[in-house]
Amino acid sequence: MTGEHTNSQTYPLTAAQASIWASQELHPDVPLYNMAFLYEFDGGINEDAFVSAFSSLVDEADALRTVFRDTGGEAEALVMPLDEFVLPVIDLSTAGDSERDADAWAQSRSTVMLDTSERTFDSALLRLGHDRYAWFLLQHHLCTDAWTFTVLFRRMEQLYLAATGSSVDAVELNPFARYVEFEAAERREAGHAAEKPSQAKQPAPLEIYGSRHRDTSTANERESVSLSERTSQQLDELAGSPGVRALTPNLSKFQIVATAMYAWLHRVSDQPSITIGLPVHNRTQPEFRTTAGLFMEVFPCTVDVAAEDTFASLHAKVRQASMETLRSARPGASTAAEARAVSTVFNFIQAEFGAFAGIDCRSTWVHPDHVDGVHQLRVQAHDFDATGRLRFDFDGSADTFDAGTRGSMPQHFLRIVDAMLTDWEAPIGSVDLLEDEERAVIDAAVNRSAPDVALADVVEQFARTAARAPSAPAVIDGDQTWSYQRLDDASRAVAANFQPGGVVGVALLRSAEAVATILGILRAGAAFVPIDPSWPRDRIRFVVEDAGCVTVVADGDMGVATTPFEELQSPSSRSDIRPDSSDLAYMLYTSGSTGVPKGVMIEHRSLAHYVSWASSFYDQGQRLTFPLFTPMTFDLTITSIFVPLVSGGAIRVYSESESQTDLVVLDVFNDDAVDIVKLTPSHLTLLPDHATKKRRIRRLIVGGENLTTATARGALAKLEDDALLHNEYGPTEATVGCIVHTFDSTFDRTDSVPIGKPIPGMRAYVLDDGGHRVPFGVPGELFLAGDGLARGYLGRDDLTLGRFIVPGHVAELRLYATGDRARVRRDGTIEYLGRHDDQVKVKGVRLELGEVEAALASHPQVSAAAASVWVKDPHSESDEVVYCSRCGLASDQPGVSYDEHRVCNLCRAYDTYQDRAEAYFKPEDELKAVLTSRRDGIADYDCISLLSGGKDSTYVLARLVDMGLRVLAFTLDNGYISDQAKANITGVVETLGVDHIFATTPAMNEIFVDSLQRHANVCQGCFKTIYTLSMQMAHERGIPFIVTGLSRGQFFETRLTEELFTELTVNADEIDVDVLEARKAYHRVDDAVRQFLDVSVFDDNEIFDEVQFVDFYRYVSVDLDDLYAYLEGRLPWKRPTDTGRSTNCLINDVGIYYHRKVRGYHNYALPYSWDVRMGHKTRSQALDELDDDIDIAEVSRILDEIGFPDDIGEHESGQRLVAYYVAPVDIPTPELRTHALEALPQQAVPSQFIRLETIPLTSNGKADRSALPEPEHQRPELGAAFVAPHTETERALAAIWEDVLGIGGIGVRDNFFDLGGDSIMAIQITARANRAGLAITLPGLLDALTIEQLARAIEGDDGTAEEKKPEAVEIPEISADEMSRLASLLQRRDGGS
Amino acid sequence: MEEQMIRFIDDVILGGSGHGISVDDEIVLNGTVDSLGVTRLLDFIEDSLGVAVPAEDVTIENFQSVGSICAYLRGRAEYSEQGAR
Repeated sequence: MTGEHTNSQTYPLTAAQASIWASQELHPDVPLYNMAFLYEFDGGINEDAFVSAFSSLVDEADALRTVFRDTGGEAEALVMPLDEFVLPVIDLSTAGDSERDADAWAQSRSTVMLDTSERTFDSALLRLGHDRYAWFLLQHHLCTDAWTFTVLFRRMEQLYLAATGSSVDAVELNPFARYVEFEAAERREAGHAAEKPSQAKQPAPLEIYGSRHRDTSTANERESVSLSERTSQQLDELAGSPGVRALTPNLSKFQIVATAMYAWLHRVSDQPSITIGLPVHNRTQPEFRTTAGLFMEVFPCTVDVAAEDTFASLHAKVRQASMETLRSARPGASTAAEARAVSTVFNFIQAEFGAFAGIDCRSTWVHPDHVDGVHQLRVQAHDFDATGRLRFDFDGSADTFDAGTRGSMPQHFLRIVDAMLTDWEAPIGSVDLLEDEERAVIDAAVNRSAPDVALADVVEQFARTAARAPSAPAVIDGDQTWSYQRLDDASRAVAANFQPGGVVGVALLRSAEAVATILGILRAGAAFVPIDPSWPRDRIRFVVEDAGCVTVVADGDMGVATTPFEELQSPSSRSDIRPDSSDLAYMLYTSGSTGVPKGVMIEHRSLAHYVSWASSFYDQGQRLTFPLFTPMTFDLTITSIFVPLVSGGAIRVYSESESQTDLVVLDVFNDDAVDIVKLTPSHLTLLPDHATKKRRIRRLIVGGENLTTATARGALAKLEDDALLHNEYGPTEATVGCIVHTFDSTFDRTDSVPIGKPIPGMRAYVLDDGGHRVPFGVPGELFLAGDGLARGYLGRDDLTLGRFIVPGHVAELRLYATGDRARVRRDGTIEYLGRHDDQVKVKGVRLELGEVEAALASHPQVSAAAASVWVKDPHSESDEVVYCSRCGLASDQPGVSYDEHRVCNLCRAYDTYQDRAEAYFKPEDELKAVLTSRRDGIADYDCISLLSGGKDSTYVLARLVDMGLRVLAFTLDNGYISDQAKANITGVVETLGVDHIFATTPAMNEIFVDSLQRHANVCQGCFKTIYTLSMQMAHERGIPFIVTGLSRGQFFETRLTEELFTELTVNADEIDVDVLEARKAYHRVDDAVRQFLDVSVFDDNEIFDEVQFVDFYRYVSVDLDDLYAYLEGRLPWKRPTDTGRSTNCLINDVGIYYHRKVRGYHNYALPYSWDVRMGHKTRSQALDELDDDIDIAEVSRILDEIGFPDDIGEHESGQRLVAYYVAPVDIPTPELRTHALEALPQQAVPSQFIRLETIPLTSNGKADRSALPEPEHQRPELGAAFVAPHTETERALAAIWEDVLGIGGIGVRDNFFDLGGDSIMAIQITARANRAGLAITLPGLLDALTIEQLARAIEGDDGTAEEKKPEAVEIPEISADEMSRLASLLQRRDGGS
Repeated sequence: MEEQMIRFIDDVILGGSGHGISVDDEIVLNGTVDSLGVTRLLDFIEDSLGVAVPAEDVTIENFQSVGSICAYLRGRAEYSEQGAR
């Protein structure tokens, strides 16, 4: 190292330097911040003069003498006074193609790691020939930017000329140190002013070409293009034209090129809001223009691109946004967080080098194959050699983009630039990004050609099968088995009743008769229309009239002309009518956007096409049995009816069940009497675990809605190893299924299972809004063509023309616009991305939001309506979480509100009853009296002390020993107690000299899994195990008491609520009675503990008299410091450090992680807030402990270890259909629901209704669904259907429940715990009901659990209100596993934790 | 207004190194003030004169010299006075 340290100057890093320093620290071995230029001189160079000039340059430019030192976490810059660097002259002239050698040499040298503590540059003069030289200069970005290279180049030129004896103007470089001071001053000023609200909103990650960028690698590849001469001319002309011209020609050009950049990014991302980083040179003072060093900072610039923008209109937005970005850009103002949120940078470089000392020079920015991994793409536009033609370097992440995508980026961008310069007023969507060649490559990857074979219609195929094996079973319906012969006969008989070309409704329940009817209608040359007998009468009538049904084959009265099946069984039969391939086979009615259902007409060609393919693909020559269990009106069911009948298989009928929620799929799974099942992903999630090994069901065909990989994986894990799962995609309009993918759990890694490739005879295209094929990876709308396309919608030519289009761009006769978003992977596989337009699918049922809105808007009081489907995304952070200024409770906790001082409702309430709550606590001296009150001489111990090993339970044990009690310490070893905690436990019991039991159970993992599934945490399972095992032990050994370490905060958290002290005149004994009742119910819950442990001790409620729980801290109050002091003085106890938090348990993190993920808030937030209120923790301690740094890999390892089925994905698909309406007053939810039910099928009735002042509109004046407020705290999607309150009592109770639970639209059969109720809420409901004159008790509520039961208890069986003790009413046995949430009445966690 | 603006350009944008620019001197095209400098000037105009300048008005016609900037601003002020009446 050169130079004297004493003379060196140090300075703290600028904001930009600090940011780069931090990123380089993350990648110490990667040259991601190497900036290198190669200047190739087309002429001779005086080598000695050049070497000497370079030494002068180093002397003059402090940026070249700056090094960086890490001074204990903080870096500082040191400007060394001297650097004796001598420029090496390297001879490449002897090599062959010296120019290429220079490039290769520079490329290789540019990737050398600079040791920034020694020197931040590297340089060499390359001798390429006697009159050809090249100068290589590499600097670390910490000390340079593109402008700096021009400064150094120009100064080097002057110094070189001076060294060769020419006289030149000597303008010395200015020291960078001046900028350091300037930047610091700017930052101070900005800090003082702090007026500008920072861009609080994080930009949406820009995902181009369907590639999600992750900051995993710095590897990067460059693709470059130059504008042609003609294009450059056009650009110059446009830049000078009025309306486009900006302050400077460069600024004009920048704004035009940036417009193309935004347009391109929009087109290849399909995102409306595009944020890119704009480097700003920051040389705001004239002296900085001749200063070398890092000035440049990157600022985000967001432009909202509209699909209908023209280049001109987008240009206006870009001009506005870039001007704002420039104006908010201040030296030092860029933040690391902002910089890291931007993944795409567009650098319009104004630097020009030109000739060097009169020698022609070609300048190249050498790419070191690495850039900051935050950046997926950096585009540099430059004209270093002043050629008048811009060159674009596309530096794309090698991890994020495959070579094909990287190669096509500049080409697509150029197509945009060309189109823009040709027609400034053209819509940005009008440009076709693809050349013919690329389009052909995409088509070839996706579509297969189909052999042109005439297919027999399904009737003929069936007839052939029946003739081959007449006695084989065709339909198994209950205890009846119909042979092919019988089905053949019955369907022929049906056929005799109808005429060719007729349309017949079928409203039979699923049955052999229904199958015979459908076949018979087809055999007559007629078409069938499935009708669901449970549809509203209006809908049935509409469909029958619309379709022109001659009759409806049905069993009962439906308000239309019907014919029972029996009447169709006349002995006369006739031979089949052979349909034309274009004859109608069936019509299915789907929801229409105008609120009117529309009939999709499917011709025989399409039906035969699908059925023939499906039988060969799925059956593969085997005769498989399919269950018939889905609604006949669902086109998914076509598979289950026709595929077995044309291939010689059988149909096993599962008829509609009585209940409203049709869970007949469970029977299909449980019977396991079929080979293959066609079903929806929602059905799949109901597949039970291996009940019996060797399942018969080996194949699943999934259709109807998006299939997540988690669901597919979970389902396959429950079947035999050779089972197959096919994801079949297809709208009704393309006949059941037309794109298929066989799930592969090894290769299918995306969130959703791909839908695959089109079946032979069908073709798929992904097009953008302009009707252009999109490049690989880019989302667009999926269009279909081929034999499966429906004829159209009956009598709805307008709709038919709208969806079945005659394309201009694609060589197809007709295309069906699916309205689904999709993208094509490079291998041709199609991925489904959701609905493109307003059509939505909720629980597998397709509906159009317009239909829902229309139904709602027909209510007399509603003036406008909108509907939206909300998918809960647990990944998304909720908007902004606030924290109670006193206790720190976060706003993501359900039911929490804050006053203007940001104090939460719990703190405020506690203020009001804190004094009275004291009555619950008892004097310390009573504790010993209680615990010795039942010394009858039999037991060896007075009590069991539950010892987790934490501070609280350790203190309890020691104090009990101090009191002279005979104590048995009890610990559950759940398998995850940390080593330090275990050492604490053994040390403590040894020191205290007490007997100690380490209980274990082999079922612990099952209990954890069950607890996670029920409560989304692990603690509740653990606690129930502790209570169960300790009760048993107490029972066996005759020990009368179990002492818990529940903290005082936990009393308030779980049992002592406001109402106990304000509304009810409750004394401590009454609370105890309630707690005991809850405890009894808790142990009756049929969970894993009950299944795996011996719980016979709870068979008799006597046990709760025999063994009583005593909460130590009800008697003893101890300050946290005193507690620690006591432990320190008396016991070998240390706070565990190996669990990452104040807990003893290593599995705790799993529960916390999982709870956050599925419930959306921290399960410790509420208990900790009570700890703060109790003074046992400070607010910041609580917040610190809640700020988890959870090791997700470890969580996943433990989940795997305990055998938790990976169904996290299933929690994520919670869809809710929400309706919004404008009305002068709130309309009761039940009323809206009833109203909607008159027009809509059950599934299309919104689960929530929200009144708004106005419906938000887009700029086009359309309802803006994306701007609708996210619903919260509404009745969750429950298994049970909504039943509105009927009686006075039910209505009154519902109002109280809705108020306390903070949710609307509660039905009378909704389970209290399903609604998110807990014991505190139960107490609140009891109090308010009593105040309203409704006599209920807490145990009564906990027994009833629904408003219906509770009302019945109040009213008496005859429905009249009378004074009657609820307990006296016959209560149904409590078996609901939701009861387990009563665990919240007991310990949520150990007092020791 | 002209004086005020010349002082600002001299002192702040040119950091005191201005050689006494005059009202009609080219300040943008000759590189005295670049686009980043203009944004400083816009801040100054908005802060001291209370006139907001929309992006589409930041043109070479309006900003080529101190004189043209002031003429533009007078036009704006007049316009808004009329509008207020």
